[in-house]
Formats: sequence, C-alpha cells, structure tokens
Amino acid sequence: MRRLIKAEWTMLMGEIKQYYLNYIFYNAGMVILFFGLFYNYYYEASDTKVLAMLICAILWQTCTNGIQYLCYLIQDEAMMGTLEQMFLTKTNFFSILISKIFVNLLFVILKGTLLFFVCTLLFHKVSMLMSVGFMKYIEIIIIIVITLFSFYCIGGVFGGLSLYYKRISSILNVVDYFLLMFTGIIGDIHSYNSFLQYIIRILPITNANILINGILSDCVSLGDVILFVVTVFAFIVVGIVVLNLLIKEAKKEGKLGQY
Amino acid sequence: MLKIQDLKKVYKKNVALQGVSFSVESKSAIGLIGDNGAGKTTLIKCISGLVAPTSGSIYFNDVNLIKNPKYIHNTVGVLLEGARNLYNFLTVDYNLNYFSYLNQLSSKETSDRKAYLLKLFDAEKYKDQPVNELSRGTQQKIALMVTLMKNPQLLILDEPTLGLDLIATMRMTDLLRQIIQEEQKTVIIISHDMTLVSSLCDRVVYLKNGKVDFDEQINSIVNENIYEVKIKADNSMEEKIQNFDFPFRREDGIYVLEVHDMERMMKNKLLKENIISIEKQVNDLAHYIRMRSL
Repeated sequence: MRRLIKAEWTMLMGEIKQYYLNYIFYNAGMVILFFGLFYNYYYEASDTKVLAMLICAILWQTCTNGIQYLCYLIQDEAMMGTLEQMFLTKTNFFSILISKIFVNLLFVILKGTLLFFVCTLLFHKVSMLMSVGFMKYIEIIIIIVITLFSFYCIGGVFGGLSLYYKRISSILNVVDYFLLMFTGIIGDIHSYNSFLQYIIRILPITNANILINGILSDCVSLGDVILFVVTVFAFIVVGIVVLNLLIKEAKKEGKLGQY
Repeated sequence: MLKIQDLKKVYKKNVALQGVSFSVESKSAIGLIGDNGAGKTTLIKCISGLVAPTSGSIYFNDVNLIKNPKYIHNTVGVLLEGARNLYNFLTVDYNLNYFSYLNQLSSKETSDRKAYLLKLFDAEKYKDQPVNELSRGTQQKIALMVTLMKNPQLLILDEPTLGLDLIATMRMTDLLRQIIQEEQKTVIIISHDMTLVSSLCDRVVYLKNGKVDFDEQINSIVNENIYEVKIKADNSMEEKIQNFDFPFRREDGIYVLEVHDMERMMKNKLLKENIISIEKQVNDLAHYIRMRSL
C-alpha cells in the first residue's frame, strides 16, 4: 500500500505539472470565494462565528471536491482507456481507489490548511486563531477528515453512475449548491423549515458543521456526535456497496471501456 | 492451454456471442478475425474479465477464469484497441513504474524487466519523455511494453497496428514476432491486417455474427494453388458448376470460379470448352476470407 500511495502522489504531481494553468486558476477561484465570504462576515460577526464559518466553508469546499473526485476520476480514466487497464492489474480496484482517495485527501487538506491561514493572516485575525485551544483544532481536524472520507465514499455512487451516463457533472452541481446553501454553512440550520431540517441531518456535513460550531462554542451534545458517526458510517457503506454493484452491472453490460 | 466452451454474451438489445468454442495451445499464436461487430472485442473482454459472459466457460491452464478472476490478473496481459492504455501526461518511465506497482512487482523485478523491455523495444531514448510527446507508433510500442511488464503467460492484442503507418506497422510486426519467439507466450491477435495475422499466427479463428465461422491452420489455407476461371454463362451449366463445390459468382454473362483442383475441372468437357480465361491467384489469407464470404 505504501508503494501504491507513493505512486499515486507522484502521479498527482505529474498531473499538476502537466495541467498547472488549470490548477492555478481553479485554486485562484477558491481563494476569491473564500476572501469574499470572509470579507462579508468580517465586519458583522464575532471572532468565533467568523472562525466557524471559515472552517465550515473549507469543509464544504473539500467535501464537494470529495464527492466529485471518484466521478471525475472514473470519467477521466474511462476516457483515457486506463480504467480497463486498472481492472487488469493484480491490485484490487478498490485498493487502487483507496490509495487515490488517500493521496487526494492529503492534498486537499494541505490546500485547505493553507487557505485557512492565508485568510486569517490577510485579515489580521490572528487573535481569532489564538482564541481557540490546540485540542479543539485537533478535534476539528479529525471531524473534517472523517467527513471528507465519507464524502469520497459516497462519491462512489456518482462514480458508478458516470460509468452509465458518462457525463454527470450537472448532477454534481446540484449537489454542490445544495450542500453550500442548506447545510448550515452560510445560514442558520434552525431557520429552515422542519422537513428540510430532517433531510439535511442525514448528511454528515450538516452534522459536522453542528459539531464544529459546538466545539468552538463549548456546547457539544452526545446526540450530535452519535448522529454524525451514524451518518458517516452510512455514507461509507452506501458509497462502497453502490459502486460495487454498478461496476458489476457495467461489466455485465460491457460499459467499462465505453466513453 | 486456453479453452473456451460454448461462450455466450447477450447484451440488452443484441447477442454478441452465441456459443463460441475453440482452444489455443500453449505457446502458440492465433489470429482472431471477423467483420466489425462480429464479437471479437467482446470475446477478448470476456477472457480478460472486463465483460461478464452470459454463459459458457473459459479455462486457462485448467483454471476457470470466470470463477477465478485473480488468475486472470496474474497470467493475462491485454493490449486494448487504440491509443488507450497509458497516462499520456506522464513519462514513459513513470507509466512503466506505475503499472508495475499495480501489478505488485518488486523493485528488483520492475527494474530488471524494464531494462530488458527498454532494450528489446529500443526505447531507452524515450524513457523520460511524456507519452503525449511521442509518435503514435512509439506510443503503441510503450503500451505494449506496459502490457508486457508483468510478463503474462497469455497475451491478447487488440488491433496492435491500428492507426500505424506502413513503417511503424512493419516495426511492430517484427517486435511482436521477436516477443512471441523469445518469450514463448500464448498469443491471441485481433486484427484486420491479414498480413500481420499471417506472419505471426499459426492458426486463424474467424468470427461471424458471434459464432466461429471457421477455425483453420494458416498453412493449410494459404499454400494451395487457386485459379480464377472465367466461363461463359449458360443457365444449363449452373447445376454442373454447383456440383464442383468451388466458390463461384455470376457477373456480366460469365461465371467466375475459384478453382483449387484444376485437374478435376478439366475432366468436365462442357466446362472445359466454355473457358474464357484462367488466372492464377495470390492465395493469401485476405483472399481466402474474401472467397469464404462470397
């Protein structure tokens, strides 16, 4: 596995080197989005609220990246013809995906951390950073990593769908905007109607946002922790099972090599 | 030995394979040919586990490949059709290393095999170049190297010369010949290039509408003397011509016969008297297939 992860890291670096212009502008877009969000909150909210919003916005960005990752990966590999080659190697396909996810997750967290520090330093919010204890940051990072992993896994459903429908980026757009608008990142969950509140609590990102806000304001409830764990677990299981089923179906219908 | 028995594959709307059976001796090379849509690619994808067959069985070295997909990964190497087996933005060296990792080769195995193949393919000079900067012929060579990295016992090549120019095709043919001879592999080649198939394979299996139409030793079909005999058309002669069992067609008032036993034909006085011309044919694999399909 270590060699595989090393191989995937080198592959990622090779990809960045080749398509560096696209990477620069993708990340520039993210920086502008975060600066904008931060700038608008900067004058009106308390330090803790700004910090929570910033962390949750980074969580949203990384989660949308996670949910898209397998979909775009499978699309790209199918287009290059390397998807079938992966199935022909001695390494189990899911092990390859896990190593790719691990490397991408690491890269995304590094980017998110960098973005976080750039935002806080640029807006002179160092005091805000210092107001939160080290252990709280560790807890928040653990929550982010677990949430992200569950989103990478549920991305398997979209990855599987892309084997059938080939281009499904518009579905992912719907998901992205839903996650941004209705999971408590730029609004208060309690202001939504009760039906919507029930719906969004099945998403780990909503529960993660609640937990992060709870950690920052010292009011975490056990119920929120349990719900977070259950939804994360459900996302992981559903993602893996559905992707597995869709791959089996794709093999039956000979769709692995079609693009 | 590869043994395919009564293999069927039915997609939702069409039947791709309808009971294909044939076998391939170890360390021999066969050509799998047929019209577009005959089921060739579906067949090799079933062998390599990329498509699940509807029914039937595939055994390689007495192991059921459908029930033991791991055995496929250990023993079968597939070069798929087109420029679609490599990461184009990565260098040749990295592509070779990456697929070695996925095939779980040790560092020593990887470096030994890589050195051997780079030398064999005369590709040392391309090692550090990204694949997308190489010519189509060189890309195909690199894709073949990647397929050979895990040293598969069964090598399946789907259109290995597709899109290559004449010189690149000749080089690829020479390379494949060298690999078949030096590495003693069991090889299946899908190609529409009959010169390639004739020069590399011992046998040819022709698929038609998802069935084996014929399965012949190449030597037995390309060494016969074939003559194209033109005879004045006369309706009373049609029955006689049919009795000869030679392929024939009628065009512009004449019969055109493909005769492989001239002595037998000449014994028939009526036919002999009506001969317009006799021409010796170049009886290669392409000609044989053309005549079979008439």
